[in-house]
Amino acid sequence: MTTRRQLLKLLATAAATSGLVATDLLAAGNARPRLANGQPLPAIGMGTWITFNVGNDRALRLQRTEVLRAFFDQGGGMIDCSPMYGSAASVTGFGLAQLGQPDALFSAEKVWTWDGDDTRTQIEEQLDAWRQPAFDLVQVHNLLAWEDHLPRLFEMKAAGELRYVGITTSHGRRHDELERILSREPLDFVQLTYNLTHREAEQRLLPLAQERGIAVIANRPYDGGRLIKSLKRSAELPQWAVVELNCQTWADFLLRFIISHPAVTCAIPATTRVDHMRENMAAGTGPLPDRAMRQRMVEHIAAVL
Amino acid sequence: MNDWLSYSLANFIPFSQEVYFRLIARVNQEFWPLPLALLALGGLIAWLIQRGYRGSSGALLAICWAWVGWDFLSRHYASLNWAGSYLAWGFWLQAGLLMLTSLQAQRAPDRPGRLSGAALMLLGLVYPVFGWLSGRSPGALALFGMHPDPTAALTLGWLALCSSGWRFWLAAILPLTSCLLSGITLTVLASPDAPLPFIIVLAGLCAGYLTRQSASTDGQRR
Repeated sequence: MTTRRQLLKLLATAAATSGLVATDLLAAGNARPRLANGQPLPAIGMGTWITFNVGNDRALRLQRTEVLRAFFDQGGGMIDCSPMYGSAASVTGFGLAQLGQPDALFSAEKVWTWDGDDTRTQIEEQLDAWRQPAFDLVQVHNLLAWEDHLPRLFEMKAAGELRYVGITTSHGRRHDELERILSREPLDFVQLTYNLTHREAEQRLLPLAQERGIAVIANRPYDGGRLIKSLKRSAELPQWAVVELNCQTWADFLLRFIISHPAVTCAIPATTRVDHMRENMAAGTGPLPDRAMRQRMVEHIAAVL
Repeated sequence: MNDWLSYSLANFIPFSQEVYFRLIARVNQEFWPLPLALLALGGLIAWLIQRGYRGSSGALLAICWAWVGWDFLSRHYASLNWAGSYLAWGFWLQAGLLMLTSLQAQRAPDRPGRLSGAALMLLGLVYPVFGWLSGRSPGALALFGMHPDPTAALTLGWLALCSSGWRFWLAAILPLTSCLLSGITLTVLASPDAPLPFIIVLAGLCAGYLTRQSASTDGQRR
């Protein structure tokens, strides 16, 4: 008997090979995780590495609150953070409190400590910083002490203290080890680097995640900002992307490539600017490229960079 | 180990240039005009040690290290970088080391030691000029007694004038390390004055070498 997942894959493959511009069906190959209010997780979230680490600078905290306001106004959900990011959690918590605790929030935190006995302590510290009662998702950051942290996170999930468990890497590090972990652990999420200039994950990790029903968060969608800044400085948006995908900005181009992969659930660009946040969020509302268009996008970026 | 090698320096600096310079400006502004008083104190320390007042100048210098450790590192920098609280403890330890160093009976330095020491102390006092020349706003200039780099520079000069051999190097470890970390930070942040902390490290190493040479010569004379 054909399962729902197999049926969706068949339909997605048919849509891709027919050359049609894909609908959200192509990007929803896996059952999409949900917000606490039951709505599907939006495909564009936000990261906080460097951008939200402003310490006790009140003026900058208020400015980042406006970035958060734009995020939620435009339909945002996932905010990703880590204890490694300095004061980013505290600044996020400040902003969320100023905004009255938006119910669309999907809080994604990380455990980042060598000490396997410190899982719960660190989570509690981050909850204090976020001013939240619980996280939606807790991830083991950069595979650090994952053998100790993952069992504890699964216990916390079973006890209802968090909703999802994940693991992260970035910059293409430790993909072999990550593949082994994804193959055997009952993870809900994996976070890794995937963008138009770093597509290594397409080879094994994305198919594996899709097969195992693991949601994928794509970090560094702009390669730490370098990619989008370089394109904005040196290249015009290709006309075919404007006409066929309704791309208005490079953010549209770069993010739609990422979230159109059938395995990817969410991308998390980071920004300090309200106007850039609006650009990022707009990318989640337009048509998504099919397989042929994706290949064209890859070739175009390779040609202009 | 291979995984750690795959990390770049940027992975260890979790804040932007804008945020870092705003932090320095807020630190300078919070207790204004204390930064000016501490700069004058730096001048006093330099004057005292040139005249052989090791104990009093060392005590004042130790107070400055304790202050930087508390105000800049523990109260402000630690909110940006998890390493800040550990660095603060290092600065308090350094304050203690300087107190002990100031109590030791030391030989007077010869001419190379005096020159290198004086140059480093002067560098610590005029440090903000280099930041200004590199384009920093006046509020975000690093000042002796408020920021690690100029405090470390003046301290290395002080050590060159009243210490030698293993005593010099023991008390120089933290100032040299602090400047190295600061140089790396400013390099990652693409600050135009990034070379300056590295220059302090080089000058401090030279000063240490010169005091070692002087101590060897003294030993041969005896």
